[in-house]
Amino acid sequence: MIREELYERLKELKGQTSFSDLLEKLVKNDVELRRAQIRGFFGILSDKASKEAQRFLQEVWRVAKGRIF
Amino acid sequence: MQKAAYFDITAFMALLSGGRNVLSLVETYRDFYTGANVVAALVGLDTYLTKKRIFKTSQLRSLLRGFKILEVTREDAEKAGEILGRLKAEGKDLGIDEALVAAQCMRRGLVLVTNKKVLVDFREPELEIKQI
Repeated sequence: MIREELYERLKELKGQTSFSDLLEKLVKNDVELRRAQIRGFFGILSDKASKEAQRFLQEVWRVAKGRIF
Repeated sequence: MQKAAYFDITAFMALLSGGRNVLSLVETYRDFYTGANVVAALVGLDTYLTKKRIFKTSQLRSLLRGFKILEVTREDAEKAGEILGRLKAEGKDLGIDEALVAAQCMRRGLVLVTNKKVLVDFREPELEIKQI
């Protein structure tokens, strides 16, 4: 069930197109925004930070693997 | 239509370290998923690097906003159990964590992006793996 005020807002946004077109556009925009966000983190770790991060993660996973109770 | 991808922790590390081919993968997939264990690990790492003053401020939480977080369902856990038991009977080992990720990807048709040797070597027709 869609809330009345949201329905009105979506109807306004869609204009002359269909609800399917509008929803497709909204989904695509959401993914593209998130893709840009992910892209922005490419290579942000310096060599020092990268080595420190690997050490941290290896330690976290090693401890988790060795313990049952 | 291109498939959606699941990034495990090794895929995140490749992205953050500027690994080869990672950017083209980001352009390739229809959508991006990860798991609660990766969220915990990255937030932990973020906190650790900030405390160590390697990061001036918290940075990695906003990267996670680019991903949808998968919850583990009963069906995922059962599938993971079947994988674990079958592999053990064949004399192969996989961790529970790795089996859960594999099961989640298999059940949803996600491509598992990873550099974990144990997963890359895990030959399963239902599971598509992209090594980075």
